[in-house]
Amino acid sequence: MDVTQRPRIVSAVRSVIEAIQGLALIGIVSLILCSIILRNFFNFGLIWVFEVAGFLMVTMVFLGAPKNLIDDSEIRVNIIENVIPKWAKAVLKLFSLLLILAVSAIFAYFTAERLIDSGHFLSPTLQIPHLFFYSAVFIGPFIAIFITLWRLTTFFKARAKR
Amino acid sequence: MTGIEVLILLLVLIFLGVPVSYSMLGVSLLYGLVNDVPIGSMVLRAANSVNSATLLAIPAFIFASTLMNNGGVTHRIFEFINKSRVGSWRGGLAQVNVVASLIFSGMSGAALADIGGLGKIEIKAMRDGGYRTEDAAAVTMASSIVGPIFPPSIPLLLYAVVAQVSGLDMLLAGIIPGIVITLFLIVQVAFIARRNDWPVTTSALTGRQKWHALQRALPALMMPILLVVGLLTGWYSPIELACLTVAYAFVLSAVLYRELSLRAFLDTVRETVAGASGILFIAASASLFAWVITFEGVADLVSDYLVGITDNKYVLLLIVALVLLVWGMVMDMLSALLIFTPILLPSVVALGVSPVQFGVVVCFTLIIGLYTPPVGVCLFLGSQITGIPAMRLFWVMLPYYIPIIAALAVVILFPAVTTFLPALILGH
Repeated sequence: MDVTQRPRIVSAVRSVIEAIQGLALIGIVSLILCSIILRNFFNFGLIWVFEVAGFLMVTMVFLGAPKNLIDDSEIRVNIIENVIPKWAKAVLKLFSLLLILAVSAIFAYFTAERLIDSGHFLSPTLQIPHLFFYSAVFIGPFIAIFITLWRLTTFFKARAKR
Repeated sequence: MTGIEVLILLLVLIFLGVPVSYSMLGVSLLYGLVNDVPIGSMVLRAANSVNSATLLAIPAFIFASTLMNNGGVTHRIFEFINKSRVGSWRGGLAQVNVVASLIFSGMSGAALADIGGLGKIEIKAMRDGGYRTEDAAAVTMASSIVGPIFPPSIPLLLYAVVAQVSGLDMLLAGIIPGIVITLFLIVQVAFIARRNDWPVTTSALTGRQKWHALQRALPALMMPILLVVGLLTGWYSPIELACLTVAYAFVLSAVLYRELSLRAFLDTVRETVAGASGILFIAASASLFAWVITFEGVADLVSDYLVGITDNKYVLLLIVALVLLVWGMVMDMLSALLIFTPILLPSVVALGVSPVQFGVVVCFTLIIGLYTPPVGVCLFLGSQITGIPAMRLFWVMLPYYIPIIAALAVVILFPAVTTFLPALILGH
């Protein structure tokens, strides 16, 4: 998708997500390196490292979903798309976007419901509430809803122009 | 809604061009809604699946290989192997290409990283050395197939998570097959070089100059050695090894070679998270789909059917390899790996095949699909780099499928090729 066509808000969301993902990646690597150094040179173990690394990983992956939608970079099989006429391609694209919208909405709704029900449970070592630990599992698909709506609008605008 | 209906619907959605992750999530959530399965538990299952020590290694290994590509490490490895050739060989540069790929694969874990990083340097060097561009591209692509097999291998780590096998076992299992592929490719390259009268190249360096070249490249060459030693000693888990590799690559690029600026580092982080989050989101979706497939007993149905066809494990492995070879040609490799592993694994395990051997067979077979039309991403990347049409490249690459298929046959027929090292090191 052409970067220049993105509204400012979408570009801003993308930048924020990218920054969080980058920090999460650096955080994972740094924490595990620290634990290796402490274990091997100071005979001292950090039992919470993998819990925090897991939290950062979940955040990185689920926040990545809307970013990949903004970039239109999800992995797809386009074997049929390459051989069908343009109008059929447009129909498939519309279908695909509607399905992404539905999946994101269902995912966000049921994650929210689940987190409201059991968000007070705590993680084993750091005692982080699940509401915080799994927040990205809700936030990612929630943002994805708006990104898909934006892409749908862009799709219809482009069709109308033609 | 039955498991078979879920599977058919998934394949329809994927071939209609719906993103693979959303196809898997869509059919799994639809199954949950129709069959009254608590959806809240399903979504948290998907979230928990990425909270895994084995999967944590994937972004770290991608980070390390991207750092090496952007920080000049890759370039030094090729330069050293190229300069230090001994004697006059016909097709010597092509052999350099194959060996450099094995060394680079000991750091990257992905074929695309090999073609996109080292491949550009290799193709240019071969072109300058008098080779046709399509020959240079074909050798580069064929040799990059080692990347996803030799540790650190991203597909083998993903398989370990889906098949619930130790990640360390899978990484160790990839070492001998990676060497076998390289040896077979070296023989084939020598044969093609003689038949096509490829240029004879000699190293212009004296012994002393070669020693200096070795000194310059030694820190970069130490990386795969450290990684393999780390694996063989069993001192570190895959994620720890991955993070140590990142640290080493960072020190080399930023401190020793001084080729990694802050901007290049930030670009590296961006590139890594973009690649890793896409793969891992598919893995999360696949875990949900795998649960539906297992819950519905699809794997048992397939197992009954396959075991009914033959009770010979080698014949079954050959059938599975043939089926996956065809699927790999039309479907993205990681998606096929995540979809078919839970379906096929019980059948082969029932006949006494080791899950470790099966993992290497599945990954190896599906990786071949990366180099075949119509959806071979490596083929298209090679085409993009060289400007040669993908189909032309495919035809030039055809002779290299012979050693690759021969290596696959060795992996299928001799289980020890994959199970020996895990048994020796870890006692499994």
